[in-house]
Amino acid sequence: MRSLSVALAALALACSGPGPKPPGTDPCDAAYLHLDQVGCEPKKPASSSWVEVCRVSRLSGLFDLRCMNAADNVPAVEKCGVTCVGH
Amino acid sequence: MPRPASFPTGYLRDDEKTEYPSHYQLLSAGPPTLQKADHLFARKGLIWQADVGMCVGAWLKRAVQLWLELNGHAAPAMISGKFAYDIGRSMAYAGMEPENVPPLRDAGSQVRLVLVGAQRLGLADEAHYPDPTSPDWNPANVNRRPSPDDIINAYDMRDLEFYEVSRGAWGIRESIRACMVRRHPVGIALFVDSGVFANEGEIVTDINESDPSGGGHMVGVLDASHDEYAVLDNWWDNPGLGIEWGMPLPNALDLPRGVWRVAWPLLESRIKACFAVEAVPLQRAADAIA
Repeated sequence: MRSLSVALAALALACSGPGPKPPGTDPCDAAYLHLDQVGCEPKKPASSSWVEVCRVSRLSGLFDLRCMNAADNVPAVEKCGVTCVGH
Repeated sequence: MPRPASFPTGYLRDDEKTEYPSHYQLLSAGPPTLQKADHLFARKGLIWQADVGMCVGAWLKRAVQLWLELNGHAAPAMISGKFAYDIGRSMAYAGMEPENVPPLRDAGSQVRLVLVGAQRLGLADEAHYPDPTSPDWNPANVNRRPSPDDIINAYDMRDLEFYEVSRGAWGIRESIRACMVRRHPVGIALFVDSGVFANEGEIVTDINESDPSGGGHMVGVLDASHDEYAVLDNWWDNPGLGIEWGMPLPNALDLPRGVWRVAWPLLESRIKACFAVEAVPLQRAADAIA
């Protein structure tokens, strides 16, 4: 057990060591960025933002991002239940 | 078509203690604006749950329809009861990564999760999210989750207001009436047995809560103005199936199909939960209608 603790501590130190921190890993921000990269501007809700709705939904067990994150073009994204504006 | 051997439970008791707003707030909500606790005149549109355990969502659908109608919206949209059911079921996994949520099961929903889910995620229009009454209803979608687009397109319901109706000092009958004369649609949960399945319009005076064929169900209160019984709305009626399931046909009282009359003493002793809708975000729903 002690050796495991030492190993975990070393790993933690390595991951939090000096150097630039990784960019924010909010899954909704990342998904939105991915959609942008494949040329999809997702349809916005009437009274909020796509990212905000994504975040709230994910807190409620919805908005599985696997499909859209795996899509590499607009038709593939739209098969995930995401409407891309202008397409 | 044979009568179903058992009734799939659609109403589930809340799995955690919840402090709801109470109907006592009605005391400061202004005087009654209806002469009597009767919403039958405002009931429009068929609501049918088929064999899906979505009675809580079906009630919310009726409650939204009634509220809009009772409060001056002549052509209210019908929201999707299935969407309400689906977000209520998904809410049971709140806090879990959506990617790890197991497949939904058609096993009913808690009122708390449906109502809070509606506030949090909105409600969909039936035209965009099919119910069993919709022409494009597909039974294979019973357990599908709302897609990102479904949620993006939903009505914003953050201003949806509801409260719990408790017995209080006046008893549940008077409490329900107090809500209804203020144009607040009321829903109740109770156990229904095989005798209720076979009801043909007579007043229900007994329910066997030990009946293994029975289950938890949520219905709406349409008319609480009579001394002897309450008229309850239900979601089982459809041509053919309604007869097979023993739903009352139009009778001498000129009641519409798909309603029950249940004796007050029975109802008062068997209600598992009682809720009312106080406000539906009007402007956004009206926008959606336009």
